Amino acid sequence: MLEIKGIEKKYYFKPVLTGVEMTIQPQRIYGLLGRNGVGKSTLLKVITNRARPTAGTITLDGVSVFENEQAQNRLYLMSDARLFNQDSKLKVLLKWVDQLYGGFDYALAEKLARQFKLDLKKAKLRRLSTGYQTIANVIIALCVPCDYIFLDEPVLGLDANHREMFYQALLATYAQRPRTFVIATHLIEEVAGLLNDVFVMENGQVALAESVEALQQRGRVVSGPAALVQDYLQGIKPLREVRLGGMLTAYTLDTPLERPLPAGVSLDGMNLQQLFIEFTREAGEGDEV
Amino acid sequence: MMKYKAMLKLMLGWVFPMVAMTSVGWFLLEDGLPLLTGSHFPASNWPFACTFLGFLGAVMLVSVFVGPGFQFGVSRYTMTRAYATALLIQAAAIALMALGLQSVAELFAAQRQSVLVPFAGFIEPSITALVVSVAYLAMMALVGGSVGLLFGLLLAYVTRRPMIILLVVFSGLMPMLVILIAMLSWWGLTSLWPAVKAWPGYFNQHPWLIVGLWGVLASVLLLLMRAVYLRLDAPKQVGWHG
Repeated sequence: MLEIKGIEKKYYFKPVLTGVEMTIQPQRIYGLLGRNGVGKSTLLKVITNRARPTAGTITLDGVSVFENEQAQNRLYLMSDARLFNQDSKLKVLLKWVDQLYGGFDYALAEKLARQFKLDLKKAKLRRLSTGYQTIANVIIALCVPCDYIFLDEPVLGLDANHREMFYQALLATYAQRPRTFVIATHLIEEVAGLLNDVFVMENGQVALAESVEALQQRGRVVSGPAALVQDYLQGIKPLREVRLGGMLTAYTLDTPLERPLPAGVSLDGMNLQQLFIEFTREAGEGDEV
Repeated sequence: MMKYKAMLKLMLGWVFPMVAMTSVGWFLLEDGLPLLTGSHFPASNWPFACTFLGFLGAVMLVSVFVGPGFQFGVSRYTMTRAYATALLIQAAAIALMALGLQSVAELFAAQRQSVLVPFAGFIEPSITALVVSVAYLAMMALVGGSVGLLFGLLLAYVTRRPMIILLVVFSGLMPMLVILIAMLSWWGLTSLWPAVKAWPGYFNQHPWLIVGLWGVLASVLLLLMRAVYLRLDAPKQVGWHG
């Protein structure tokens, strides 16, 4: 279990993370969601020792992960940062990964490369298109023998077909060797079906941590005549209210399902993306175009 | 230990070809052309060359390995150890290459003249002269390498993009800067304290002392490098371009 407590990070006095608290369980698939610039990538860098935290602790099964190679050998971060020598051939890169992590799954790498039509033996990272660079990084991430895989925007530059292939590959490798995946992405609708749990970040903190199932159960759109909707949601502060004439639509995470629904009021579910949008919407945002 | 060994192995796989290429390149430019044209006796300034080649090798090491170090979960402590060991081995390799290449030059020279051993006490070839020469050249390469590593890591710390291009451009300027600083320091020291003028003669008579002093300087620079690396966050990008 990966426990993150009070993590803060400043870049040149600018606070990016302001006290992150989260617990990541083994063998689960998490979504790390948040608007641009809330600190998702920074958090992943801090967990994987690429960035030094300003304050706080991160422990893996009770042991600090900071500067701890044994712990770090169980964590892997795939991101768009170009930290490899771009002139390396992919086969050389895989050899490096194998030497530094041990137990790299070459058979799976070759299988995935065939599926994605990527030549591992001859291709050089620099000569690949953005999409294929991502594919190369994804293949490495799926084949390292780590228990916790962090994927920061893993489908950047991938076309729809390749994205679908990636999601299938992720699920297939997860079924064969269950481990934790934390996926930071903005394509919420696409990954929603993969996720067990989500973390939503706001202002450098985790504002919401819940299972997708529970969240979808809680998140509802209540609409109908304004007076009836307000009466139904009495004592509850919705995420957002939209008025159109005498009608009111309220987005809420705290639907009082135990209350009888008044006639003329409808209750609909929210998908994860809608829920995220409503949860992270800033006051007045999108009201005027 | 596994990551240290793996990282060192990767670094050495880079260091040896790099040393071979750059020192032969230096030799050909400095000695080869005059030898071919017969214009004058080749006289590489190998102590200076070793410092420069050490610097160049170190900035390349930073540019190539600082990224994978962070990507592959290698701790900062391990990386500083691997860098220091790679620099030591690189320094020894550069010194031996310099010695070998100088010997080649002397074979072809019409007039035998030892320019390798810079000490008055060791004009005549001897085993001791050889050992002192190698140690001296290796220390020069180590000092150059430590400066290069420190410089490359500082660049990575400030810009978060230790680009090879920038490092190479600066590695051309760096020797000029070092020479300028050395000249100014010498001028300042001798103006303030004329007795200093007697020092080179003294060091020439005590070559191990100068080897030791360079060693101390390299150690201090390596400690500074370690201090910088321990504060470093992963760069955004490495390689040739920004």
